[in-house]
Amino acid sequence: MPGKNPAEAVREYIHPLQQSLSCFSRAVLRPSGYDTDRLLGVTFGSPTVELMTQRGEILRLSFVQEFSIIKALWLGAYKVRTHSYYYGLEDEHHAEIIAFHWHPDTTPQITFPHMHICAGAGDRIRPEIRGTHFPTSRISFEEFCLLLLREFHVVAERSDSERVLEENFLKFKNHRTW
Amino acid sequence: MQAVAPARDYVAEDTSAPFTAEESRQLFDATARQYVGMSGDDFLRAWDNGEFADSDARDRAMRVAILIPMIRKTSAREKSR
Repeated sequence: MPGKNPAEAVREYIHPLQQSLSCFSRAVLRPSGYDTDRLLGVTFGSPTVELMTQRGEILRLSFVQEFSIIKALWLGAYKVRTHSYYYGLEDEHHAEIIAFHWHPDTTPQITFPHMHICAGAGDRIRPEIRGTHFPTSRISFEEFCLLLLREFHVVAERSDSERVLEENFLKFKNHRTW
Repeated sequence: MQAVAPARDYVAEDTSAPFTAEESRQLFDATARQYVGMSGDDFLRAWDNGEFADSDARDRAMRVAILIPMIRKTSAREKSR
């Protein structure tokens, strides 16, 4: 959603992400600034935040999105454009298990969204699997969160987590440009 | 290594308070130490020199490199698709 000024545009952009994150964690997502036409980042104040599974296992979530704030000339309003995303799940010892990435500007040879199966997924993962960029569609943070909830059985912080994530995913689908 | 400020409780009006320059630097340094075992400054030098060529190291380096815009001003147009 556009904002009247850069700060409002960033708030509109972060709000659903923060709401989705609140399904698992009380960590706070913060941007690196409000400068227009500059590459900015949004993440939380530590490299990862801790999650708990229903089996009592500790996992760690990482989240970074790069974005810029652009002035939408036809509206006189400001919009956020996403440039990349990194969502990762790690074990207690910071070994990455699975990650969803899209970083076309940093790796011109890998411009498509992709998934990594990492060393933390198991000792017997073949090296070529660990090195593969498995192509995916564009993955929203909400889809990643639903995966954590449904497949990794991460304990939710709120009783309406699935509904919140489904609703925010729908908003994302309605506003995405690709 | 200086500790990174812990994540604060969720307060709606805080969600878009930007990181200060010092907070960004601390986060970058902590992430570099976590994933590639070097300080943030050393990582930046290595990244700029094109190190992390092999795929295993590169994936871990990418995890740090994505935070570079938080500590170094980068024009969005420079990195535009």
